[in-house]
Amino acid sequence: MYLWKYWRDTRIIFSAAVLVIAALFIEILRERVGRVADAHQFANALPVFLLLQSLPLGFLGWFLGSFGIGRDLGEGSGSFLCSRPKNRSYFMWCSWACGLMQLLTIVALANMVLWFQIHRLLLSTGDASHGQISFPDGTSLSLISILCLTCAIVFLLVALVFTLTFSLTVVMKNVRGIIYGAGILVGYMILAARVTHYWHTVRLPNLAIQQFAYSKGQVAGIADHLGVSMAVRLAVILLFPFATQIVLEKMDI
Amino acid sequence: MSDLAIQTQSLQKHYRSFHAVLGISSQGKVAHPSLHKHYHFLRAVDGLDMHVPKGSIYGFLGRNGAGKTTTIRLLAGLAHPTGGRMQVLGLDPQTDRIPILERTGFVIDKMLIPSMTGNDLVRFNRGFFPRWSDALAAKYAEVLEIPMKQKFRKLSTGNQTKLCLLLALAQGAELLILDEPTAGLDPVVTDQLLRVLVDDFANEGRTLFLSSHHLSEVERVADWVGIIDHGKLLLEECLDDVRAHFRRVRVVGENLPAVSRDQIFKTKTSEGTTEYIVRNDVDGFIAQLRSQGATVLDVSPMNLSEIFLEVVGKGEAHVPVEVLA
Repeated sequence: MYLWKYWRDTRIIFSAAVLVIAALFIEILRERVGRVADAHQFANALPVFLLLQSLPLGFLGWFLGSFGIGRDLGEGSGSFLCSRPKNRSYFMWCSWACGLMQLLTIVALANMVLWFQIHRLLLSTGDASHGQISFPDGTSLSLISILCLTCAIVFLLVALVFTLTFSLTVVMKNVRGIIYGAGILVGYMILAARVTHYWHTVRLPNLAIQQFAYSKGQVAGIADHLGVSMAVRLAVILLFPFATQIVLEKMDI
Repeated sequence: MSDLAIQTQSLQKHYRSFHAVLGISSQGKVAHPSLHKHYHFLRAVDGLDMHVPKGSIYGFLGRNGAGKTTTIRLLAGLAHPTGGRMQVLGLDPQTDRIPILERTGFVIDKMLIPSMTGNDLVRFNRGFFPRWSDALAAKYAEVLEIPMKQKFRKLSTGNQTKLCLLLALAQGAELLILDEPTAGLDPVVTDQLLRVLVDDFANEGRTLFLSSHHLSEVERVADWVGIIDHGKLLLEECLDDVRAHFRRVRVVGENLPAVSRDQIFKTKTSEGTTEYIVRNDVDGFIAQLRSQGATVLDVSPMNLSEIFLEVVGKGEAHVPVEVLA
């Protein structure tokens, strides 16, 4: 029911994203693979890959976050929806979960395309490391592990942006939540930069999890406490819909 | 089991609004940079006691802003009451919202999902209601001539209202609660809707509760009326009793009874003539007046519009009843 409605509302955005990824994949297939001099270059390229996909996917998460029950409340359909025999939380969790599933699919597809390209480049080097990417500090990871890790990291960032916008759209009962969501994200980044500027030792948590540790300007290996960072991020992401549910249940519509 | 479809006791809904006013001098300049802050309480529903019998057509009358829509929102569980109690079909809308919504059709804002067509909305709505009837939906789409392939946002006001009603009727509800269903509709569509509501819904022994300020429509279909003003129910009676008992009595005389008696609704005195609005036992009242030496000039029956005007305290204005109707 409501899942069907949510899918109807977002299917064009989702399909467009899948088409872009498909076009990227076709373009990669058409491209002749050049020879990469050193397999270590992949390790340095990983943060760039991360950034390259985080920006468009973050934008997608931000935009998708404005759909769902919050948008319905803004369009004046709230009293119609909330007089259907379902809990208000049903509408909220349905749209939140459906949006996240769409984002997860898109993030997974995008990473698989990138993984495919890296795999081809790796093969072009002769694959001396047998599908492993080595870091300057000596650690090495399989390509599949890096794919899963990058997928999880990007998804957590995109999910955070999505959930923040989604929650604000519901709380504001208006699509304006999308603007407030962007404002909070940008504001946080500026705040983090200012804090570091005035207090050099203080660092606010980065919006994007630091997947790889840096040493002397080089990627050294998997960052310490990566699991903890991911768990905290996941907890924060889940905190938003639970808080939104409480607000929605108490709200007059 | 209760014989009431809806019951409220001292129901209250107060809204708190925050005002911040700048201090302004007589020259129109800001006198003080400080803000005067105060809270203002709007008593949208203020101690409402309402009893809607099962199987009745209940006309819930009131002026704009009287508290009709807020009451309906409270009954639907869309808003939370500030105080008091309420029951819909014997259940509390605060704790038993879902069983109430399964058995009750609400048409409140007349805004469905703008991007969906009539057919999409039927498909969407079907899954929510265990007693949904596709046959009824198809029937009303034909009877009410609703273009089901057009998106909701592109439908005319009349067709939007008709579609809202179709969805409420096809869900197989025991109780239908409609907020100003005929507002903004032309007389033909209004007639169509009222016929469907009375002939197909209420005649099957189900309860119809409709709020309106179109008195002639309510008078045409309702068998019970409740008049609300400033959040309070001022009158609740069977419409036949209202018509039979309410009388306007004009009297000349001295030492006439004051307004405190239960049977006298209102008293007005002008140019030596006293006018009483009597709500019951008019014969006894007239006999009493005559025994006190008063001369009864005339006793006239009142229609719903006149009663409404007297009840909400606007009888002095002599607004033509056609304006309200």
